[in-house]
Amino acid sequence: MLIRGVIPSRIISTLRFNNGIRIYYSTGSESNADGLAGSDTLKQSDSTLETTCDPVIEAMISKTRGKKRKPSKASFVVLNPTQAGLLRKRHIPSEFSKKNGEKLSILEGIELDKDMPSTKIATRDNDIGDKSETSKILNEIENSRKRLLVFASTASQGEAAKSINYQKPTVKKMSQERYDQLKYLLDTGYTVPQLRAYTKKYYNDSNNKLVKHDLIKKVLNDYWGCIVTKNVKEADDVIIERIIDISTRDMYLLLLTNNGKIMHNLARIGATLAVVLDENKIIVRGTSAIIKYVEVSLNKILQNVVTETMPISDIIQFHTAKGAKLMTYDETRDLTGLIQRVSGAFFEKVPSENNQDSIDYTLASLGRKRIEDAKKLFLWAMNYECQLQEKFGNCTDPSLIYKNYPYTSNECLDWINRSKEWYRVQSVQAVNTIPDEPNTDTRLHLENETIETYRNFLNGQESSDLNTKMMKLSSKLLQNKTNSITLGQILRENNVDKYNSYMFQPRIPQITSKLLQLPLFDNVTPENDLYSIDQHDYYVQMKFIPNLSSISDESFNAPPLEIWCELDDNDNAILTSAQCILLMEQKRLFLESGHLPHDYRIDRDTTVNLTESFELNQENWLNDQPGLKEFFRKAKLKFGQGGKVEVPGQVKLSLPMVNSNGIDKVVDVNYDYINITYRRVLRLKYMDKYLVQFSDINGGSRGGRYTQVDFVGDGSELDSTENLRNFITDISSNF
Amino acid sequence: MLRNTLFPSLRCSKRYLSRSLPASNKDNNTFPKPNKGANNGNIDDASKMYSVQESTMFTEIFEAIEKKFKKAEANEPEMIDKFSKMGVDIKDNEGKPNTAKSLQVLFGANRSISKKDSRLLSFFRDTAGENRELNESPTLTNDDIRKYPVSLLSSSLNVSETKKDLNSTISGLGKLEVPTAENIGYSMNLTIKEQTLKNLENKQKLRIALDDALSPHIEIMKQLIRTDYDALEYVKNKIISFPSKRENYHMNKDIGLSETIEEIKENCSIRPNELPSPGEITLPHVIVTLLASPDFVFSMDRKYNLISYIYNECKKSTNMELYLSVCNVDFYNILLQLSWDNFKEINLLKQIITEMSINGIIGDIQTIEVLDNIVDDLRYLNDHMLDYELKDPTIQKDKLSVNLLWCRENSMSFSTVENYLQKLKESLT
Repeated sequence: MLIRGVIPSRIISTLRFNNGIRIYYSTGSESNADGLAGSDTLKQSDSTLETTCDPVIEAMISKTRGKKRKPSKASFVVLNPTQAGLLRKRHIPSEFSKKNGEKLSILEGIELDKDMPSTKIATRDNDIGDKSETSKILNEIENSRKRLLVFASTASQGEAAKSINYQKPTVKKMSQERYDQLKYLLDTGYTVPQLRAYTKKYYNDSNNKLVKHDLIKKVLNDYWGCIVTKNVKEADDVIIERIIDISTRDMYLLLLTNNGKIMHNLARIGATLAVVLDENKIIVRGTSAIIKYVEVSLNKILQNVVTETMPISDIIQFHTAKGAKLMTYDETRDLTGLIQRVSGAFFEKVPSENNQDSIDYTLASLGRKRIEDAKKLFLWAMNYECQLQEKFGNCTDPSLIYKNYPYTSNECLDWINRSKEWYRVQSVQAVNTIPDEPNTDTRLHLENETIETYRNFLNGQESSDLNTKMMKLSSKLLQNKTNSITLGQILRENNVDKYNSYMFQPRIPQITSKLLQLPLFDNVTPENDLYSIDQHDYYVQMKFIPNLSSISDESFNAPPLEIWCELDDNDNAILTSAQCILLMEQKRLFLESGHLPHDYRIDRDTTVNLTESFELNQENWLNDQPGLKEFFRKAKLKFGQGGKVEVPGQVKLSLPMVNSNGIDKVVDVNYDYINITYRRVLRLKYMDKYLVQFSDINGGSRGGRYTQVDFVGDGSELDSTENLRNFITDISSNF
Repeated sequence: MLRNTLFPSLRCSKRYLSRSLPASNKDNNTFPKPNKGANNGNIDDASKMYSVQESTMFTEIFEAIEKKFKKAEANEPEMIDKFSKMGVDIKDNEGKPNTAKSLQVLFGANRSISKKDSRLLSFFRDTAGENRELNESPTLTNDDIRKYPVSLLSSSLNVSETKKDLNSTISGLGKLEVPTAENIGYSMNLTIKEQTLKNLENKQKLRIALDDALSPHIEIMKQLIRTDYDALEYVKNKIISFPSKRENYHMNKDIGLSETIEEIKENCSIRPNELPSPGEITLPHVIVTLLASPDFVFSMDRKYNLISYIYNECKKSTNMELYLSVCNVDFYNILLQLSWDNFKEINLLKQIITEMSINGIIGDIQTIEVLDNIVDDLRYLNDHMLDYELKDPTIQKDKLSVNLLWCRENSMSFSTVENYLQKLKESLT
């Protein structure tokens, strides 16, 4: 879905009301963090507008309102970067600012729900020193010793010397037991030549005359300066080992939540941990105090594992368009494997409670958030696209040789596509002969007849089964049709055994310098201000798919939904700018041109904007959509510093529609939230008639980040074959 | 900010560009942290990066666990499920733990860092942004920790492992000083500047020596590679046949680099069709040749295709050696230049330099040159000095380019790059 469906409210535009009164309005509302909450002030300022229907005043407004006034020079105040809020004092990462070990929480860097007793976990149990513990510890040392093995003698002397150096204790004062342990280690772990190599290397004395026993003593007492003292308890410095049995699920969660951050944190307090994957064991080494701490922490952390059963077949059914193919078991298995990696939640198969033949999944994660995340990713992968119809066209130069070139810029693909291998069909380029730009008129090889079939396709002459199942919205809602061409690359999946999928990725090289030559689309900013005003528009786009269980009795499908909001200076969403767009029909024609650096996609989108502009009807804004109102009340959309982004998982829409008998009715449909993207858009003008949108689209680590170039026509492109041909050649001759 | 007072009645989502970025040599400490600040820090941490070593490792862990599950599923799904829920270990048929192939993930405290390494580390910390704490990566090993004495600390367990320190593979090559991360600028006898020059000289010598030694093979390459697709195929084969650590041509540490080069030369003249071993020296060299030599000219986008392919294959490979040897400073310098030439995205540059720091690759003189040119052009746009000569002719001396390239986020990315450049200069000169 392109942004063009959204009317940028920044444009000072004229609208004609049904009653014929014409008012001019500007939607530049006060930068307001909580759009809705601040609507009182807005009402005031805009109510003055509504009353200004006097022709004289009207004329006045049209003069001053239509243009941006150039600021007088005097009003510039020069701020230094700090005053301007551009600079922040550098925050020293806590790890470096505090002494290691102090106030360290095992859960540092792990995001969990608020109700988790993370502080309790972090408090250290100090009940280790009692007598019964001591004998236990001695036993453990004894057990540990039995397991000691002599070092593999294959290590070279240099390596051995290095490894001896690692034994050097950091604290010189130690208990007798620790001292004995070190002595024992050096004695059994290393040969005399290895010990000599060590002292030679680090202390420049090979101690040739000393026997092993004396050599070890010298290392411990003289070189390392070990001092035995009674003040240190053996519980605090003798290293012991404990093996903890653990379930696969817990092992998985510990290892893979934030790439093993929990384990890292435990290691940072001085424990050595080894996870034996095949045996479901964690081996912990450290002083007994540390081991105790590790055990208690792990226990407490694992108490916070949240589980939830996910009725997979229901979810699939309710999020697949009626008439479309359901996801197979094999596909869900691959998908859950992938989601597991992305979300950090663990999927376990269980027989379904309701239906013996099918399978459900039990989701487990540390904290509820990751489970919600995993469910969202699953819906994302459902690809609910019943509004979409696609067709391929070949415009390549047949005289050239084509090969499959791997496409590897994964960072601009979303998490699903990133996991696959892609290639693009391109003509080969001979070494040392950079091809000239092809003749501008014949860059694309197109016959008139093919253009006619393209036009028929885009105009909706060929409709699919799914198209007919789409619900018919009431004619009161205005349909918006746009034609556009997007530049990008058609990629095909490099996978022989499965059905071949394809995709269109819009980030292309070598385009910026061409775009730099175009003028701005709405050139309202005075010349001088071009330097001081950021000309981009900022939006946030949220995608939703319908949950068909809310209309399970009906035979039709509901369209996918997008909610767009503008962002203010501080990257907070202006909720009153929200537009709710239903994607009724999207026709996509891919024009493959492997002899050029990129391919083309022609789009014909039919959309419906469910919300009227806030400015037009402030009193009753969203009164017809209580679900949406509720959604905005709950949503937090602050992308700026210290802000928070929280999108409610569901929104309920009331869709006015016409049923098969031609009778108007309103259906409530629940929509599930899928994903969010941050968009920066620059609007340029090409050939004085096309709107060029240069967007920087950031979908985070899941959605990927890419740029996109769209050329939007005025709507007459499909009126005749000639028009369509002109549209295609206008764009392709220069881009 | 003042903008609200300027257009009270108009749309407020106008952003003013920060005109005067602080000169980067001052106020380094007050620079905004990269990634946060401007925006989209909240979409989620898109710019969070892990070192190649770490991501490779976690992919391996995932695969190990998945394999385990598939095995379990194939055998007796329900039994195993029950067992694993009860915390009973899954054993193989004989009922013994399968220790031979058993993978262990080892977490341990950081080993202490030598003085020169800590200086290097602080450079990386400064420039890696807030992505992660460096030098904190678990080790994946087939060795059973239980075979080792209990009182050993974690660090010593890695000694015989392939774990890389901050320095790159070449450091083991011996006498001829190749500029590795380890020896850049930390010699006791030389001033840093002299050291840098010496490194540069040595590197140049090495390059010429390798050019000479590999010339029979490069001649073959010229005949073989007729199109960019041939180049792609060539690199693909070489990457596939790159030896893993174990079957590696094992280099005797006592042999100096000059002897190694002699050996390469000899092998190459006998069998010019093959790329002589050791691959960790010859492959990076032919790749740089392919990308930068005037004998292999392709259009900018095709070159980017090629470098991006190599780069991602190296990062994906489970063979860490491949990334460590191929993606060296020279490679990253070309990557920086090609990324800029193709996309003109300052954010992309920021990502690449951050990644370099995370993976322990320090820039060199060449990096400074590449970044300097870019930064100069951008600084011009930022300060719009109209009489200034642009080094990159494709950016128009036009107010519009200001608008296209500038917004708050780009300003922030720009200052990150500038900051990096400054730090790099400090550490090299």
